Amino acid sequence: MKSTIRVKVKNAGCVAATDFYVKLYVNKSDYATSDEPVAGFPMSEQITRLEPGVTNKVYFSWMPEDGFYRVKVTVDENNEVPEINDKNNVFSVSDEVKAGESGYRAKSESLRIGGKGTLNGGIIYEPYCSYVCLAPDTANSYVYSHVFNPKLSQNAEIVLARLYIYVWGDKADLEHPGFRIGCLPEVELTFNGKVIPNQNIYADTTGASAQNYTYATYCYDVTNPARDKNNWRAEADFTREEPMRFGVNGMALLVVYGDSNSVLTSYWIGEGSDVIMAKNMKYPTGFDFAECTRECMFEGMADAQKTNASILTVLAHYTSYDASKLLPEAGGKGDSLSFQGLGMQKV
Amino acid sequence: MGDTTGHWAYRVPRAIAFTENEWEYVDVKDGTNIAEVQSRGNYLVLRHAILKAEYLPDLVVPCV
Repeated sequence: MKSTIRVKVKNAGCVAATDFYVKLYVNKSDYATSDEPVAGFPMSEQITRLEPGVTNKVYFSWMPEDGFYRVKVTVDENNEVPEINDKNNVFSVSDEVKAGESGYRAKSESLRIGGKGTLNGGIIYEPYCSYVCLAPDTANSYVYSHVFNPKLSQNAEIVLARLYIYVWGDKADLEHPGFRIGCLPEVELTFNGKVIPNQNIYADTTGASAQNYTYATYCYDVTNPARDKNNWRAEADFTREEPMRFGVNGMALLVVYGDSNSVLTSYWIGEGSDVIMAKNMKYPTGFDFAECTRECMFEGMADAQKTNASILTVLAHYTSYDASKLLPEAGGKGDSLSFQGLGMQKV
Repeated sequence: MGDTTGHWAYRVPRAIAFTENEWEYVDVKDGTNIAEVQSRGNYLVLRHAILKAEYLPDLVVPCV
């Protein structure tokens, strides 16, 4: 992705400075102590005249590969301009600079439909909201558990049951001090006393700046252990093989049940993990609202005019900014949910 | 129709965010229906979009 580096140069003296160059040096930083000049650098831009007290902006355009860099700017490197003070002509960014595509754009594919169908029965989504955050220096294992209580009739037969765990994690990037890497802990889920194998993990990483989190939805098929309907305990055993920080936003149990006394119901279960943030005044991610729109496609609706339909959307995390932090075109509100291009009906 | 912005809020305790009514009524059509979750500057991690459509009885008195 093409990037622009903006350099501000100020004439702090009392007379105008003329015909001098601003030079930008960029070195690839493979490790904390190793630098290698990047081809094409240094780049130079000439300033023909800079009045006293005036700041000028100089722009350098560059297509960086993903990675870490060290950046230095010089002005009048050859001391051709007589100055009262030559000691402030070099500026080095003290820390490494990270270049890379941020993960704040919405994924382009539609949210995956993990299950759909039509039956006499219903669908229950029961969340367990309990946030925990484990620091790297705490114990290597942690048990997160809850006993769910879905309201099912005696006649109900479990058709599908899924257990979701909403997790985030990161760790220190030892090769680049001050930066963090998204990562995830290992999880073993026990449901109704049985270990559930083969979880499906949906994950997305912010990949943005020094902070870098991975958000994941761990998804387990618990249909068989749920079928006896007498033990809804879910226990997630988290383990870390290396120092990392992770958090759990919560769990959720989703149950699709059949019941001959219930109405005919069609359902579509969209599931995933997508971290999204369009540009705002606080974080100029560079992404337009349209790029930060995740589509959820529900195919195969029939006899729509005879249905009472509703949608459930789940976010974890969610940070809402007030109007002063949003761009004017946001209209004062920082997100949108639409269905067929329309907003939600007021109940 | 209501507006399309600022729908989510954390359920207490602050861990998972839902829309105001959690299950929101929507008008569906035959075939493919599309929901869109958009950031307009807010920070959000989308986990689910679940649609259900219940076919309710339709009692009609054809004549008296």
